[in-house]
Formats: sequence, structure tokens, C-alpha cells
Amino acid sequence: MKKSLWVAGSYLTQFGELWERSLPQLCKEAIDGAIQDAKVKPQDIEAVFVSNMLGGVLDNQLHMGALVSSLFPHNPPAMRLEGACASGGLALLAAEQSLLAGTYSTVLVVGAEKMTDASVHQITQLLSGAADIVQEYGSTFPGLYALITQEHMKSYKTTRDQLSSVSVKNHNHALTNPLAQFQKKLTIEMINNSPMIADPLRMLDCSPISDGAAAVVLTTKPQSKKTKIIGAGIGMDTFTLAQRKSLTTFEATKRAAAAAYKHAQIQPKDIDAAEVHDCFSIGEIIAIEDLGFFPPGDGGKATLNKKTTYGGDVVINPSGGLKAMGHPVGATGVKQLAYLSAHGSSQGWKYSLAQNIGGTGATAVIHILEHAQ
Amino acid sequence: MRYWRENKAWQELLGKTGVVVRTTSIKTAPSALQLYAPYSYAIVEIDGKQHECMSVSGELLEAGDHVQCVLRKTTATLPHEIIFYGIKIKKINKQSSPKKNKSI
Repeated sequence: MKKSLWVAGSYLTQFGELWERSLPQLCKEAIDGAIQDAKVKPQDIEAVFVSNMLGGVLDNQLHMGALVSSLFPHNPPAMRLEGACASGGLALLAAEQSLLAGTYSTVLVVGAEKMTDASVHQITQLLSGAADIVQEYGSTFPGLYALITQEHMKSYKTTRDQLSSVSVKNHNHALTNPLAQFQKKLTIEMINNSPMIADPLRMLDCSPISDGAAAVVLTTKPQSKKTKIIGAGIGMDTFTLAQRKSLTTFEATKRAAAAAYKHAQIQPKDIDAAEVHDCFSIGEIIAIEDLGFFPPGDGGKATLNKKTTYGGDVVINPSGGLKAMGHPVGATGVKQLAYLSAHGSSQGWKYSLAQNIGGTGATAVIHILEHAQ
Repeated sequence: MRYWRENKAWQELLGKTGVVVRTTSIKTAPSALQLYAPYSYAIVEIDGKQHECMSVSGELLEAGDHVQCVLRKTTATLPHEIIFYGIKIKKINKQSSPKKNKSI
């Protein structure tokens, strides 16, 4: 990074089925919380970057930038960014670029989604809009990730138990996160016997439908005892799976990670913890391979052998991840950064990483953080 | 209008045969497709190029199956609505597949 960027403050709402709270109310709670945590006044926020995917189609609520700006007393400049489930990562990148360019010195990024008012079938249909609606007609997100899972199982002999160990571990991590949608211990048997959604992915391989919001205040003004953003990168890949050279790796993650590691001038082995995009269990296995934590094909084995939890090589998804903390899609990328920045120092982590994916890996955004010691 | 634009591309695949590379059976689908579930969704190689297609209703495919592109209804509609059609794949006997695809 050419300039130092600090996470001055962060806030996460409860994730889950929040029937009593609307999309603007979730945004407001996250914004107020992050401003309070940053110890700044609302008027100190020079611009706002909003991440939301589904407000326009679920609630007919477009013009989210203006809506969020109106939650401030001074109506700061605000814009909405959308990149499917990577919307949060994109909003963070846009905010960071504005700081690095010197346009602003303190900005706020808020990600929010309100999903549980809709039926499962409606959400399934709307999320399939993150795939090519013509070339991939008839697909569902679990269906596309199921094809990826099958390829990984065939190429690397990844087993059913290895897939299940991702959800088991993430649910264990969420037991200590009161904001998580699920604080429920799972066993490999429970996951192996849960209903089939798209062969071989079962219900408990899949992240849930969630409501929630997250916000961070980013600044170029030096902060003491705060987390710094030391690396960031974005990578893209073909929109459809059929055009991919390989289904066992996400090229977008590799490209984004290469840029982020280069900015940060650190190696994968230096990372203590990571929030990765486990929208489906295979997503986490491929992520920890693509990010260089484990060799290709070893992600499942490493998870089953407890190398991705406390006491292992690297703590993956300490929040519970998308699977157990929840996946309000527009909030997820911001939540990853908010969670890591809030917990990094107290956990004794020096470096952490966030990986946010859009679609089936057509977009990937990586952030690397350095925590105050 | 979108439907009109898209159906002009049907002729590129209609009637062609290919081989299933990877497939999954979809049990939970969007409401417009739930009528057809379970159905297979597959990556299919046709004339050396990979495509993604859903199968005809109830057809459960496996990798290596030979399939043909057919025209079928693609979404549930109400009686007064336009019936939407599109390309789906249907399993065929292995003997009928080796014929080389011709342009139509």
C-alpha cells in the first residue's frame, strides 16, 4: 500500500432471521456502531460506500447510496457497489482507492442484506442471477458448487467426511460468537445425513439465508492500537463454469491473493487467521488451497485433521464463517474485515486475511490485515 | 424481447449430441423450475466445446452419458401466459451418438 490505511472502527449486527428489523434499520445500527467504535462524529465521515446485492429485487429498494446518505446529518457522498456475494469486498476496495487517491481521509463502508422476508425458492432464483442467466439457465448456486465439488472429489479423492469437517469446525467456532446465526454444535454424521440439495452437497454444506449488516470506518489518519490494511487485491475469472480451464481452483482468488500478498510483502505462512468464503463447504477447501495455506488437493485433509482451527496451522473462519455466522450477501465482505479487525489483537494474531467471492468465483477480493500487538 | 433474442441461438445446439462431463441432480430449484425437480444440471461437451445445460424433467444423468439437445418448456407458466421454451438435454442410446453433428 502506498499510504497506510487504518480500520478506525467496526461494528457487526446480529446475523440471522431478524424479522423486526428492516434493511435501513440494519444499515443505521451498523453505521452508528462503527462511528461510535471509531470515536469520530458522523460529520467526520466524508463519503460512504454501500454494499448490497438484493435490495433492488427483493424490496424494490434501489438508490441505496442516497438512502444510506440520508442516515447521516450532513448527507455525505454515497454510492452502492454490487458484485453478487463479493459486493462487500468491492465496496471496501472502492473506499480504499478513494483514500489512497487522497480524495478523502475518512470514509465508512456499510454492507447490509435483508433476505429472510422472501421464500427459499425466491432467494434461490435471485441468487442464481449471479450466474449467467442465459448460458447457465436451470442452474442453482448449490448446483454449480456441486459440479465443482464433484471435480475436486474426483481429482483429489476428497471425501464426504472432509467436506463435512468444514461445517463441523465452523459451527464449533461460532459457539463463541454471540452474533452468529447458528450457535449449534454439529457432528459429521449430522451433516452426512442432512437432506441432499444438489448431489453431493447436502443442506448442512450450504450457508444459510440471513439478515445482517456490518460497517467499518477506514482512515488515512494514523491510529494507535488499531488494525491496518496492508494488502488488497481483486481477481476475475470466466463468468460460466463451462469456460473454466479447471474446476478445482478459483483463478480469481489466486490473482487477487498474488496482488494482496505482494502489497503486504508477506507470505501465506505468515497468516495467523483468515475469514474465507465458505458459501458451500467446498468453497472453503478450495480457498485454503488457492490462498497457499495448503497444497492443491490437501484442503479437505487439513480440515479433517484440525489444521484449520485453534491449535492448528491457521485459524480459518474464526467467526463461524458464512456457514454458521450467516451470509447476508451484501454484508459478508464487510463483515469479514470487521470481525478480523475487532478480534485480531485480542487473539494475538499478527496478520489475518479475508477472501470474498462473487458467484462461482468470477470475482474474488482479498484483504490482508496487520493487527496491533 | 429477451426471449425473442435468445431463441435465435437455439439452432446452434438443437439436435446436436454430446457427452456429459460432470453432472449434479438438483433437488431444490427456483419456483419457476421446481416443477421439473429433480433434474440434472450438467457440463456437456458438444463438438469439442463445453456447455452447461439442464436435463429434461426427471432425467438423472451420469458423467459419460450421451445426450442430445432438445427443445422443451423451461419454466412453469399460468394458463394465460406465454409458454417459454429452451434447450435442454435428453439421454440417448450410446449407439445413436457417434454420428457427427451437422450444422442446421
